[in-house]
Amino acid sequence: MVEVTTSSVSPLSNSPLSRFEKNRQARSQRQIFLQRLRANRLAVVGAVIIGILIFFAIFGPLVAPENPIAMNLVNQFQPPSLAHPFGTDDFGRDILSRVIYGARLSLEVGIVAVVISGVIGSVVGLVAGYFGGWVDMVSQRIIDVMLAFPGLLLALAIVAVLGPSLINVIIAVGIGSIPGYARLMRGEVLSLREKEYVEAVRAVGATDRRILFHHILPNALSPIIVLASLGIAGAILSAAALSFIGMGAQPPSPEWGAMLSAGRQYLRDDWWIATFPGIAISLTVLGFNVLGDGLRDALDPQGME
Amino acid sequence: MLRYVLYRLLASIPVIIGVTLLVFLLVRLVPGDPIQIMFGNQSKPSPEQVAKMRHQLGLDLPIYEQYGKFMWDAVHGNLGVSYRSQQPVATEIVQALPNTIKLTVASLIFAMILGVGAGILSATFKGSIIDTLSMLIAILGVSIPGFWLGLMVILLFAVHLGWFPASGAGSFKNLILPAFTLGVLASAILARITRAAMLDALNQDYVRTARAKGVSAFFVVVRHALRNALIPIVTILGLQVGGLLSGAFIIESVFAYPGVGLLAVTALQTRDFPIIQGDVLLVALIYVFVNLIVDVLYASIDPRVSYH
Repeated sequence: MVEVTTSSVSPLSNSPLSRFEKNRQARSQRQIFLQRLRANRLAVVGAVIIGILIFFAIFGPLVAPENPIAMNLVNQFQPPSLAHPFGTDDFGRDILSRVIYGARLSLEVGIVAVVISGVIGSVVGLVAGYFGGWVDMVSQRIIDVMLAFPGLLLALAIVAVLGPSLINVIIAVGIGSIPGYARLMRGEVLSLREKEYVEAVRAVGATDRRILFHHILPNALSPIIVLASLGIAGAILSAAALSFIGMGAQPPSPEWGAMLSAGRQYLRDDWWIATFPGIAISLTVLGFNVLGDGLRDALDPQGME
Repeated sequence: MLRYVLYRLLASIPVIIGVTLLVFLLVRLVPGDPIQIMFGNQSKPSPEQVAKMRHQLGLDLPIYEQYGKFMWDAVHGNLGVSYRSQQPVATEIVQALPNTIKLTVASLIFAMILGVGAGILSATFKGSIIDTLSMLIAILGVSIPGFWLGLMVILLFAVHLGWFPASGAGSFKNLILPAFTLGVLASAILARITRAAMLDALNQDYVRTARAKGVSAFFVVVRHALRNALIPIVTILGLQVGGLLSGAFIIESVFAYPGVGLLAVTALQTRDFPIIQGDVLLVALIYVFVNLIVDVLYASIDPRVSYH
């Protein structure tokens, strides 16, 4: 955090403080960022949703009314009721409980996939952007080839090779998302390494490694974090899609995409089996998307508006 | 301009080679003996059968020769034979491809009308209820899973209202629901980008000039702002088509719509690798081609772009 500024959009701009005093109150970048984020109502809603998700992920087993995988064939196909707010499925399992347990899976999927793609992508981008040369050329060609596959296609192909399981889906989605982080990090590094403070530090004799990790990386991190939040949303969607076509979590796992797939054949008469997991996915992804948007706007309010 | 087209064409070649190499390698990386996978659940093949099959498929050749054979065959239209149906892969793909193209085009039309329209409205009436509502729906559109939307659309329009068939192909009616689903998803992103681009354009000096000259608001919006806002929209057009292409895989599966997407998903479930290989390869190549066209289009409408 090298550049400290006073925000001219300060929430205190109505106060009768003189300009002199406002300059003295130079708020750290972090405080400005948090203020902007909190002011964005939609982002706050997103954060709340994610908070609820994390709560269910951690305390799911304590909160869920029933065992998510215990079959109870007497109770099949119950519509939503007080006893089963989301109804029961084809094996008599309580869908609310399954949705709650599924929260943990979805969070795991999102986070691990983003960690994979974020870490590998950032390292590649960092090295390529800073050192240039053939490392840059080769990695950019590989990234171009990976980007030649639209959307889910690369992840689809990878999971075809690895076989159907949730872990393989996580790996596939993670690998498929590497180019985004690599490109972003590389761009950031390219612009940052020309800045004066890098030259200054280098003149004092800092090693490449120190420059990279101590000076460039922290400043390049912000857009990566934005991408990561949006990336978690995307990863959850992709993983659910792959599970939906049977390549992900296998029964009786309460993964939301797989639940949708199972509920598909009962759509006509037992619509709730497919509806509620879908709402869960939508709300979760919405939360991360909106938070990511909020983070981006809070970090750089001079967007296109 | 012609130089740019040639340059882009040449630049595509290493990417195309890379794509074929990646697909080739991926399929070779499948754990297990491909011969065993081919014979599937049938009786264990004798060593002679295995060796014969291996030689027939060229699997006893060194890897680079296999790649050469793969490319040679592919260029001649031979993409192998499906494990499941014993039909040539190329035939099955060629049968399914027109359906997917129809779906993609229809979805794109839906998306552009819905998305760009909503974006323009939002930008023109910025801050109004139209704006807020559109953008809220757009964010929702980006967050909901496509397959779930498809299922809900089936539930509403096919099961309850009975207006459209839930699956299959053949008539125009079969196209509507899947195209609508895909289109809605794509329009969400388009709406947001259009709005941002329009707002950006409407704030420019030339718009203020036009207004000062007395040009009517409508003309200002359409002729001046929209034209320039179109540039970032065209920029992401390639990505949109890519999203539609890959989204088609899932949506075709939901609606049992017989395109290359359904073909690939079925092949995934039955471990039919020749089909997966051919399908992935084809879609990736189509995407490369589409991006090429979009880049050329972009260069032609943005006078600031030159050979770089």
